[in-house]
Amino acid sequence: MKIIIEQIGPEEEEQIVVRCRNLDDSIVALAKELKRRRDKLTVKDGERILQVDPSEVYYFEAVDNKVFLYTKEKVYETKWKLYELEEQFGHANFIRVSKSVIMNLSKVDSFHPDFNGRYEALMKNNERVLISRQYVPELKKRLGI
Amino acid sequence: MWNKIKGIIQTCAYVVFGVEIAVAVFISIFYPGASLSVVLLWEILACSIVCALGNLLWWTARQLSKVETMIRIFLHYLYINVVVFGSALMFDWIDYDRLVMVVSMFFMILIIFIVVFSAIQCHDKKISELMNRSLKAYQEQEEE
Repeated sequence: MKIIIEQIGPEEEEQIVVRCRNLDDSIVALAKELKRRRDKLTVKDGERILQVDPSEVYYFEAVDNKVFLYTKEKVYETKWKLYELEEQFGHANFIRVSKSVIMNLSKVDSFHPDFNGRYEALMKNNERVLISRQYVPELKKRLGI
Repeated sequence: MWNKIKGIIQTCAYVVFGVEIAVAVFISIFYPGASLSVVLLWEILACSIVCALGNLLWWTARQLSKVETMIRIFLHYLYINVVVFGSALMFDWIDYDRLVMVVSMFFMILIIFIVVFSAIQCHDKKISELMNRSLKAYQEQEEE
């Protein structure tokens, strides 16, 4: 198998083309892994710039025009806007649960009723996320209810 | 918007149910043997709809905190008192000179409010249990 790597100009779009005779499971897994790596989020941790895997994110929260990303124990600031994150990851496990929060469904431990049609999600790291009443139907739809 | 309308209809149904029980108890105590006019049913329905419209009065696009939500619920309770006592005055349901009638109505509103509030909380609890079951299935499917 030949591996060709070409260097391209800054204005060109980066792409990976896999040419194969048969699309087997190993190729699909490779493509998924490449996509997963490309989807990493760039975040700020003080002066340091880090890459965070979206699967490690518990939820995103917008506070005072800044967007923060919450992992199991740490909080990072990201340059992404909340709507951009929703567009990028909305099809995966992420779902908007209030005007300011996008939550990772795979990191939810359980749901609990709050007042007035609102719910609260207890995350696997014991944090609590409020689910607004108007976002409950979409959440139920995502869960197949 | 449809969800808000659905919420109002649901609250209205709860209130109609609660008011029907209250009226039955009230009439049995204070007007035993009375025959009722069909107009009373329309009056109860109108009063219930206005009570349920209270859901809209306190609607806000802003995310309310827990304390704000509690205040909102208390204001809604006061609104219902005003509507019911107003309806009682307008439709001549009670004799305002008889304190026991006024006090009874006050307690009935309180009991109905607690019952309706508890029914909504029970409904939300059932939904959350359903959501938890679906979440488990969703996460298992994701892990595969």
